[in-house]
Amino acid sequence: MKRRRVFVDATFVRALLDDDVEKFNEARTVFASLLDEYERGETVLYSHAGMVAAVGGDRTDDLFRVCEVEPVRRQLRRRAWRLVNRISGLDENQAIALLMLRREAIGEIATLDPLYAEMGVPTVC
Amino acid sequence: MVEDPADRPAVNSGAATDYRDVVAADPWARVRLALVGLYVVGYVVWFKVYGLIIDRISVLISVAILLVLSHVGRSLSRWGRLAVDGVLYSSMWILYDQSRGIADGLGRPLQVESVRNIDRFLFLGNDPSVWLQRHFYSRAVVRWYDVAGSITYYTHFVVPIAAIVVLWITDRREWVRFMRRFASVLLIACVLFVIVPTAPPWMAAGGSSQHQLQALPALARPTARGWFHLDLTGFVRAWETGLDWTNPVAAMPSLHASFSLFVVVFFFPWVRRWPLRVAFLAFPVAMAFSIVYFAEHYVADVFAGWAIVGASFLVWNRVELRARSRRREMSSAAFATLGSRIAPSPP
Repeated sequence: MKRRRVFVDATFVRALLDDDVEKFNEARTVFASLLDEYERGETVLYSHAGMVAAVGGDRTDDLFRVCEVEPVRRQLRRRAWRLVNRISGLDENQAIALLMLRREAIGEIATLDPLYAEMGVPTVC
Repeated sequence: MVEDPADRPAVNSGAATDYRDVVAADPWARVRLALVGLYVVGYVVWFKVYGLIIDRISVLISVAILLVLSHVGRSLSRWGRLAVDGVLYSSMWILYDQSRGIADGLGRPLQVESVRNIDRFLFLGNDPSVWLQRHFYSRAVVRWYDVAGSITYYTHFVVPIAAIVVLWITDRREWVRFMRRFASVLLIACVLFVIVPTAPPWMAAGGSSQHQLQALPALARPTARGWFHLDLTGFVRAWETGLDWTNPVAAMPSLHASFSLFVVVFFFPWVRRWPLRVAFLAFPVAMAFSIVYFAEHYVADVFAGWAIVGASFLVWNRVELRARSRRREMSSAAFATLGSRIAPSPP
């Protein structure tokens, strides 16, 4: 079975934690659906350690428990910085996410960051 | 020289740029594809000249070469993971071979009539191998089903290993799922080989010089004649050499039956088209027919082989579902308790 692969971005996780965010309800609905698919084994969720750190706070690891969290090793960081230097307005976490999307063939991203949609990444929120 | 996307000229703004234009999928992917292509050509040439690579050490070496080629240009962490996986994988096969080899030397009584009697009970007093050979086998003529049966029989030595390697290269997550179930099947099979060493039909019919048995009428063991008919004698030589170091009484359960069903069950959800699904399902049935017709196994061995596959999938499916449910609960609980504490978002 070809499983759906979705990257979980820090902005999406933050939206789930903050009911003042405009897309709070939409994010919750999307996340509930993703969790259902995850539990059925139909969807694999990904993130990276930089995103986990960006969310911050207690029990952040538990928030991302359903995700395959890629550690940010030196080689990955170096490649990300090459990308940051080439594209204005891109930060390290975004660059690592883009690298992961491409390398792991992740088809979608759960995010509230408009950059990904502008760069042609299919978004789920 | 592989182009590194970071060496390309700078892009002014991410807003107008498609990420696929600036982030290469993998600059080494084509190199790896070419190397794997060369490997496949080499494997086919080897197969035609020397026969199938069948002994465990040679299989492990050939798999290792393919994995190394398929990891060229990958990160150090991927290489490290491959090394750990490789050690575990090799250990599994070596332990399997060792335990399978000693199974008939532990003093357990050889099962000759008990398994045969199960078949007779299932088939109303008939012995399926005897019946099939009486109705279909001809010493003088090699028929199409002899060839098809030989080919099906020998896929056992290629298909599971090919599936493992392809998953290993393309999707390690699926490889782990596959290997959990596969290792469980091997473990259960080894335990059964020790507990119930069983004479296969060809041996029960007096085909072994070591065990003089007469529990069945005389049976041929025409497993390789399809390959002789195709003039692929190298293939058969490799298999006959392999017979010297295998345990001939490790017949219950049939791993030929197990592996053929295992691959089908694992990959079935990937197969969408119905004709392909039917062909897929026909594979374990064809394998069952072949091994019974060739007097390699009883039907009871086949059913036992299928049963351990079913048990392995049932247990691991449940274990994995429970693990996912537990992670979901932990994640949901963290969101529920942290909701008011982490907001607001940074600017």
